[in-house]
Amino acid sequence: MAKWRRNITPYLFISPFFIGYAIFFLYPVLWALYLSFFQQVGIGSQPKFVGLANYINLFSDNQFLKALGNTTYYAAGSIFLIVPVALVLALVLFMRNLHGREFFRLFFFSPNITAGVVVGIIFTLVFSADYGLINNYLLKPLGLPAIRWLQEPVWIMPAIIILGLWRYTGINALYFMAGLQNISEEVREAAVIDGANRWQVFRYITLPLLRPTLVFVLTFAIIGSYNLFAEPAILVGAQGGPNNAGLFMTMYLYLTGFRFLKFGYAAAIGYALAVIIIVLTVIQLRLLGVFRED
Amino acid sequence: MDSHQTGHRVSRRDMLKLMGAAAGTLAVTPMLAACATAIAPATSGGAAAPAASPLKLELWTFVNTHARWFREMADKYKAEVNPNFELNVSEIAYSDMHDKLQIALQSGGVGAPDLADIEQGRFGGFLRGSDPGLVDLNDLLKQGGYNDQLVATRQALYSYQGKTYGIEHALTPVVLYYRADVWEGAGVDLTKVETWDDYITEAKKVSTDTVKAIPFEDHGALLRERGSDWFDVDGNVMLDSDQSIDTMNKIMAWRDEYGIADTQTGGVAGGNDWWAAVKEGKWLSRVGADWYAGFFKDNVPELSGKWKAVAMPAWEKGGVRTSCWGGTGSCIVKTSPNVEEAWKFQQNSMLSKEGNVRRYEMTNLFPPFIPAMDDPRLHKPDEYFSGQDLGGLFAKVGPSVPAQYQSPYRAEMGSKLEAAWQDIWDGKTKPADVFKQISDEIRKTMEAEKAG
Repeated sequence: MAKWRRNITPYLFISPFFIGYAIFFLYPVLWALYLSFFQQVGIGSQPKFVGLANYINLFSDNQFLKALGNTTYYAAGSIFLIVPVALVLALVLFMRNLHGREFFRLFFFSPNITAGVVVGIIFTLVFSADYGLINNYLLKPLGLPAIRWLQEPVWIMPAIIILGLWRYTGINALYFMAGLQNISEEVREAAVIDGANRWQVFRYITLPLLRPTLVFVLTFAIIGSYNLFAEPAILVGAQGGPNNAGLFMTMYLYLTGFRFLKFGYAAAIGYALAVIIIVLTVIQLRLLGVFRED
Repeated sequence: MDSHQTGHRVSRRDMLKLMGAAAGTLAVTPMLAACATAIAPATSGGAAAPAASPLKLELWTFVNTHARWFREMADKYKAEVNPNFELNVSEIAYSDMHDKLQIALQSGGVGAPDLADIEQGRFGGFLRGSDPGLVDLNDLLKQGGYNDQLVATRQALYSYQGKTYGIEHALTPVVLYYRADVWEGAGVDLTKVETWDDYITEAKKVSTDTVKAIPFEDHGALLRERGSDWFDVDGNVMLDSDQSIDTMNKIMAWRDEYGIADTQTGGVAGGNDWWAAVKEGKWLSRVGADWYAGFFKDNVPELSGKWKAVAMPAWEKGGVRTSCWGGTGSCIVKTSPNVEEAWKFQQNSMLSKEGNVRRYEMTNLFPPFIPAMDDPRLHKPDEYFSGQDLGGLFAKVGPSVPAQYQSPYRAEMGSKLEAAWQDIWDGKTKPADVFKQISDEIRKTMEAEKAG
């Protein structure tokens, strides 16, 4: 009895987390999976089993496909623009004789601790066609024509990526700087002594040794991109603005579930989103050779 | 830890099993419970519980002026009718409040308030299932003789399949607001303008390349002025009707043929940009409901004394000169243990002359309650609008406010249209094509759900 008690004690200590996890995470996740096989629309309606119909409908749902395309567009921007810029920024901030390094770190990091909704509202002012910051203070002095950022469907995704660039470059640069700090100075010195130039040191020493950080940053970039909601929803409205050009998958899920009350279909969108994120993350980890034996 | 005997390891595995089972049970129990509520949504509970004192009722609203008014009404009710009455008014942001209320009603009234304001644009969503979880007020309204006192076309918004789930706060009569200084300066007397054709002729006199008489106005509001709407009384999609397409084509012609209009500054969602442009004097008139008067005061206070309002121009001579736009219904939640008390409170506030007059004074919403319309307090000269009796104008056009019919699919159609306007305005798509496509999509959804 005493032994039983002693054995159970540690589990009781950690149980609050698991109980909370079960109630607030596991249960909704399983319930959503169950719900995704049903058609249930509206308050007080009876769920009707429809098998895989919700999932099959996704393939012919133009708005879902549009949202998938938009979200992937943003994810690509995140991977091929935001992450490289963050890496360059980290390298610059890591330079030995940089003055005001602490200031710049804070400067680039602060957008990340601003609430997404606030960012969305502020950027409506930044991208305003007639009175906006970019058009009036950036493009106009350069003699460039004003862009209707939030009215022209083709400019909406670039606008959201610019927002993402402002918001997420800092935090990613911070990760890279942490990674850079872990690379021993000796390795680089050795390479320099062997006659490597700066590019070669970066390409053959720094970058490979940064791989764990890169994997982390890219994984979170993918997950973050597919989960992005507040900023675009505030910037262009929950339906994604003109021609749904800024409709993200999370926004479509929200519209379907909370505006149109198609609970079963919304659950299916949620699961589709999860599967896409998992598949992309695995592909990415494979490409970066995480599963490879070193 | 790791140095212990193997027995420990076995017990750990047992523990994990136990925890798994516990987690499983935890997960399944509420699932079954939720399942039960989903299958049998609470239909009882409406019968009032024995009045325990004090009576505490909860009310949700998303408008701060409504909240203030409800609090005052509650104090009055407490003083005059029931000293045990207490009303807690929660002010919750628009989307949040409607989302939370839907979820609460969907889960059988768990955490739902006793009374709630529901905005008409979101109301359709509540009708999507078989039972919105709100009290049907039909018999109560009939017994109290209120049906003759409320403007019937407004009540249509909260009525569906013979049931009435809410009482409208506002008449929302639509009028034409205009920059009196500019129009009068150009020698135009807009009070003499009767039809949109007349309006176009006059508007040419004040429009230039950078200053326009009017933005592309709300298609729905202008369509309702003609007696139609996106849905008809039976819930059929009317968006692609000839009249609907013609209305949009005529709006576009304001710019394309007559040069008096343009896209609203900032586009569909360009609130800040729009008001900045108004302030600069780029826009000279605007179609808006009674609540829009307050927007002028809040956003461009410096233009006080420059704006006035007239009845909307009609589509043909002698036609209807107003429309309706927006609105919010006050509803009672079915699962509330205090339905009776909530209804009494509504009678005292939403359905009393004094309540309606006070609401106008506090919120600028012209009441849809006919006995209150003549009260002198509704007809005070409005300083912002050069001392005009706006209430008089609202009361004059009030009786002809058209109906707006509710549909469970209105929110979904609105969402699709919102994404479509900009391309229509930019001339990239044709109203006829877009309306047809959206109508077909909605019809398809309706069909699928009917079959389901």
